[in-house]
Amino acid sequence: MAIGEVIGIWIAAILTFMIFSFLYKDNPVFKLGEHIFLGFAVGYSWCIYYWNDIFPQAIQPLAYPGPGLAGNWHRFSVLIPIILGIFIILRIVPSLAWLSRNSFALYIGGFAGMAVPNVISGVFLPQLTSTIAPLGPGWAAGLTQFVLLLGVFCTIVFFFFSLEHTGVVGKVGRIGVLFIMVAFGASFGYTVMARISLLIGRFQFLINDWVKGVILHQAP
Amino acid sequence: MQFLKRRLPVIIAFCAGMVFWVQYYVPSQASQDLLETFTASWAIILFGAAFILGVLSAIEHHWTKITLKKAGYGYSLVALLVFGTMILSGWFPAQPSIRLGGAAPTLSWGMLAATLCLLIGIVSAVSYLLGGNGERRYSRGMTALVFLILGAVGAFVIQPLASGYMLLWKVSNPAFIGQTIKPDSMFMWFFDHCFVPLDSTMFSLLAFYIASAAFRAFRARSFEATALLISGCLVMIGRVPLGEQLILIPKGVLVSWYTAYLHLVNLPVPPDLATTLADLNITSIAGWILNSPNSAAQRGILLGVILSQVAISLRIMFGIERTYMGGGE
Amino acid sequence: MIEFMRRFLNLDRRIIYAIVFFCVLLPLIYPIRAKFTPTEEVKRAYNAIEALEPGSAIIISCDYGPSTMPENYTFYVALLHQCFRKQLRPIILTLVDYGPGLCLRGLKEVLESKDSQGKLLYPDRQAGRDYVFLGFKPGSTSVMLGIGQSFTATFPNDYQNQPTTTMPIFREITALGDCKYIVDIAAVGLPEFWLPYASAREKVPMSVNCTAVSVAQYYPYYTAGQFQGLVGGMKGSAEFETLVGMEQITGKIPDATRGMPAQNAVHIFIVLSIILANVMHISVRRADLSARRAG
Repeated sequence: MAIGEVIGIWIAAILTFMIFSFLYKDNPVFKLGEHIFLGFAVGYSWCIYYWNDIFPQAIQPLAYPGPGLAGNWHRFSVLIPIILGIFIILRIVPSLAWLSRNSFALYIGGFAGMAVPNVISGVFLPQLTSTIAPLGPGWAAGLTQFVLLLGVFCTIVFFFFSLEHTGVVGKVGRIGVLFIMVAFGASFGYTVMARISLLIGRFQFLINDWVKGVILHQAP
Repeated sequence: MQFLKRRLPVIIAFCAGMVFWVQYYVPSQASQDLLETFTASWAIILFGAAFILGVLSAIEHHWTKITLKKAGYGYSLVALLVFGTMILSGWFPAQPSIRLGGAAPTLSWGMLAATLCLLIGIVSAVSYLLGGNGERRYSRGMTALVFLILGAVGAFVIQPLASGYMLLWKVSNPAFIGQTIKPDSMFMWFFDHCFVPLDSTMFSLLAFYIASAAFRAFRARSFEATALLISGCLVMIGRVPLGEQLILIPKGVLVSWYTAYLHLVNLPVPPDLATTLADLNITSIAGWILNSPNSAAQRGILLGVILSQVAISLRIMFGIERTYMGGGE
Repeated sequence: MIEFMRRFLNLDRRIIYAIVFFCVLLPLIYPIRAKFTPTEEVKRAYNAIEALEPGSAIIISCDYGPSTMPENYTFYVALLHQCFRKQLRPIILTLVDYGPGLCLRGLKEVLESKDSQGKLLYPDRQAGRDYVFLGFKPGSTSVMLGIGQSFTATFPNDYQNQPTTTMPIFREITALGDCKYIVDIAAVGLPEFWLPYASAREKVPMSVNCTAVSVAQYYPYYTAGQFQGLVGGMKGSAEFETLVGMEQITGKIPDATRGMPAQNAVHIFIVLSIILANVMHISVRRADLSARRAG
């Protein structure tokens, strides 16, 4: 294993233990690790955003257009979003912060308008169609579909607050609560699985790469 | 001025929203070109600008902590130093030159030394600017000057002359895009050995907390809470290999029961019954829970969320929802 | 007895942490093989990709970061193996800024993997022709809509700054509608955007690999057939690795599969602790109630 890799794994292990130290209690070592993480996260994101977004989308068409675009004046149209982007950045200057409202209005308004037809036709209608599908084929599929239909209806009734939840509506709402609790229980079960998986991943690194690979010099 | 500050954004939001709503129904080439221009170019640049705003805000927050010497400002100093190191390694392309002994992610010795000099110089300069009067301040100032000059000469003169790269010129050369993020670059070394372990470990702490919460806090205090816990336990066991081993009703018994039922109601027995039925184990129960009651409740919630999404979109377009404009005049 | 139960219910959390620590550590040090059968959700995802014709383009969106590597990265590597074995053409992109490093790492791992004779498994795979890694672009919805119009306009260069207009793969595959499948590997809620803005809009089927936290909320889409397959969490990734045959391909047990015994152990501990704690809680409460009635 190359020395660069060995140093890297030692640093990774030390940083891992710095974060794990929080399990005992909050301490300066954890805080240091936390702030190192913050520095790396922001620095890494900056470089990725610059080389994948800002440079190829905004700077390159203007300064380094490439052979196909050199004589094409259409490339200067990126000046409009660049100016709008500068308006966004000017939000940190209190007297000029109002300029950013126009940029935010454009993309929030634009995407709000886009969302309506896409979400209705792409998600809402297919979900409704699937809910009110015929029961069957077979009694097993029919039972599952019936439970699905009942559950969706009862859940929607539970969240319908324009009617008072008494009498029949109240009882239907209670059935809806039961379905919701079952769903949340399933989510909880899966959440436990997710968190444990992440811990297993860290332990696999510590055991395989650090202890076996670096300390005991075993082959991977 | 009020028009520009308050009314114009609302008008822009309405017009943009209506244009892109109607665009969905217009199949012409002009309509597709409009969508392409907005999504492939404009929106992506705007998101980049929003990210820059976020970074500047984060830097400003930590810089304020340092300048005002608030509690824990040392940590903010570390955060900014690490941020600077990552920027130097990733924004300014580091050419792979001297290898640390093999085909591993490399660091350039010359660049590392120059970078460290620059960082020490910057820290000393900050300390000088923040410090009081007297001998210590003078010595910090001299340290800052010396290290900044050394670092600048090393990074921008000696290292480029030694390796053939002139750093400032190469920054803007598009041929370098991707080189900072190549597998054998300093930038990726920091990513693989510093950022990945930190990010992974932060989230893995949650495993301990969820185990502790499960024991100390999850109590079946009502019928609904009991349903939640039973469902949770069944899914937890059902979605690990153990769930398949906990068989409640074996396949053979299910096949004989179903065959007897079919005979009772005078229906033919399917020839592939033995293959279509399986053991009734915790895994199959968990699967049914997820596909049926869970799916039902989640779908009910989803339908409500979609309707509120549509409602909020309409409120934004018609100017009723203006939180995106922020406070102020 | 009741006093013991009362003290047990207030057990120091650090003892619980220690038990979890050993439940995870011991099965990893002394590995036991855990047998499991792939579930229907994972089989459908695998079969849908197996059914694609060689040469088909498949979008792989790696929307995850280092924090969810055990659940997502393991699936990504298995998927790449399946794609290259089937001679599919993966178009890899990422909509989160932490994705590029892991995408590159996975691609490198798969393209450099060797068989038992030491020969490269996929020796003739060329970037730009057989696969392409487009890199990262922010603004998820705008990227999805953008590639629905044109790949080359949304990603003028790939991750290594090679112009996409000159790539052979983009001579036939100009937009999302020309692709045959979408696989979203997500740690954040992006499948719910891929569906309306890409899959439903361009009529391209999709499957999802997500973290276990999000799986339960994606079941409505799976039962409605909008997601053809749903590979959830590390168990889902382990099942997918089994279907792809990762152990035969790489010659060692893949990471997600290796983690299953530890997952077993901790889940048993947590379920038993919930049951035990609730039984003790009910007993203590009853004892307190009868003491209050008597007193």
